[in-house]
Amino acid sequence: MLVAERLAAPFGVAPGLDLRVAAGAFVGVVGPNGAGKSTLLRLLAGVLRPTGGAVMLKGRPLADRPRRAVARVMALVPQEGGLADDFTVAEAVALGRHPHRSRFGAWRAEDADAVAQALAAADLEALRDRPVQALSGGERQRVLFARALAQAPEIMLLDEPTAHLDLAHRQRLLDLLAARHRAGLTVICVLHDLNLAALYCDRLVLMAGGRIVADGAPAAVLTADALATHYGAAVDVVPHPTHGAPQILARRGGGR
Amino acid sequence: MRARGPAWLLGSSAALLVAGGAALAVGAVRLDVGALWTALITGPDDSTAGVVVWSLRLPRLCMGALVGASLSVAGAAMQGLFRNPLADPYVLGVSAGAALGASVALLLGAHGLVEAVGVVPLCAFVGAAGATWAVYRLAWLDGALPLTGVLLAGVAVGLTLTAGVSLTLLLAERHAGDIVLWLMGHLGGSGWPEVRWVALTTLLGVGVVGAFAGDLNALLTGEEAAAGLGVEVDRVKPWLLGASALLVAGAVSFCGAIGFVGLVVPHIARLLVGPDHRWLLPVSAALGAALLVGADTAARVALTAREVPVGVVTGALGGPFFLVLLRRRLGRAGR
Repeated sequence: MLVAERLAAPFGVAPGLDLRVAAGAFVGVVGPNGAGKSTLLRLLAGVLRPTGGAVMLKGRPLADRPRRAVARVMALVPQEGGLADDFTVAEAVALGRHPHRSRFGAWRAEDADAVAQALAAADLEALRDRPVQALSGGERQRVLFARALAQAPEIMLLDEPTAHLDLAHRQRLLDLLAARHRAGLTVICVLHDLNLAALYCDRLVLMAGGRIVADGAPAAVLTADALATHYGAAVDVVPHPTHGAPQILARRGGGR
Repeated sequence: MRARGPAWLLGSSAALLVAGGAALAVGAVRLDVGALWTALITGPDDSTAGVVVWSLRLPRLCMGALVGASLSVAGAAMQGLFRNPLADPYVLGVSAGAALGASVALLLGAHGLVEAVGVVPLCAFVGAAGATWAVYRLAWLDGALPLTGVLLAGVAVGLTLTAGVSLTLLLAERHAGDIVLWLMGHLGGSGWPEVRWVALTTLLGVGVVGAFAGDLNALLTGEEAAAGLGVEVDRVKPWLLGASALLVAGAVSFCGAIGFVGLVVPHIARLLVGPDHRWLLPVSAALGAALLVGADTAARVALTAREVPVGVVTGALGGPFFLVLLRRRLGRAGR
């Protein structure tokens, strides 16, 4: 569905990066700071133009498609920023309908429905009239997520969507994402938290130094050796007591 | 708390009507409601009221409304596009180009080389177009218009051309007063032919900016996020910058660089209807028109001996008002 061929970017991604994401996948992008995860995500979303190679969406290069058409298929949840302070929460989420509205088109019932559902899903109904500038970091992140939901995409690209969330909201957001994934949404998600990544994603892409260094099922990617090599961290990997997914435990005195 | 768009659009249109009525009624010849009404429905004739209303005050009123709307819409577009509350229609350097064109024409006119009255707007427009072209060329980079580049090029071109204006002032010597008057911004001497030209640039410019109202909303979230929401950022920016330049050029060429309207009015409109450009742009247009018509009427009647240029009035009112807005904003951010 989404294919990157021999991608290169001025910084962040080393020349010649290849990645194929099938429809219905739940892909986690992990890796140490500065590995190029965010750059890769922005290239895949088409908001950053590659200096080499191309991103193909359903067999056609992104660069050849109108952005409107792309935005109806693919939504990006940026890491930070991406919100205008003066808007209320409901207005900010309503911007997700932008690619679905014609230039002079009126606000339709289906737009209102999509926004109402997105607000409910992101637990933002109580905050709907609050200006965005009055929100906490976690609330802002949920607004960005709700906006992407309102966009009604087939593919959602998320850049560290859980960075400012507490444990319960992290779970809520990822559970919600998993539910949408079961309903057919393709998810590509940059995650810092390796344990959550292993728990929710069915495929992990490990990046280091602007390259993909491992790609596969969580258990195959998150090995103690790989984490020692690419993160420089000494860890133990144990299976999750309930789900069996690999979980990382830091070892004391292992930092380099 | 929002959904006040329709109410305030109605309110600001009513303000324009009131300001327009006052503009027609007061002045050296004072007309009461009955006389004004008679003059309006009988149309242009040779009576004193007919001449005053149809040849003097109505074209001037239309000019004020068009220029006020143009500058306010251009200001709202610039503040939205640059995501900067301090942006105004003049950041593009367009007005400096117009000022140089006009002051050169006035200088030549003072020396009897050209017939200044007809040539000034033309030269001002050519200057404005030249400045726009220069800013565009300087900022253009790899098929895109990075906004920092536009801003810096606008400031640089503006400063350079303003130096040229200073030089014409020096050379004009005892005729410098004419240039200074033009630079302050004024609506005097507006006739129907001038109004027609400005109506054209206003309609075109406001139409284009209005067509991009939704994109401006998305652009408030930043260029990358807007691209993610389906905005063709690299195509929208030249349209918005071009339309704003046209609005400013049309207004400034005939009336000089009237200050503060384009900076302050979008802020007032934003306080009233919020940041949604679908309402912000029409309310800014109506409010800007009302404000400039009102300010011009005040400028006409403030001193009995002579008219005050309307730019002086808008500056005197707008500066302090903007300070109050700024303090409110800073106070809120500090909490």
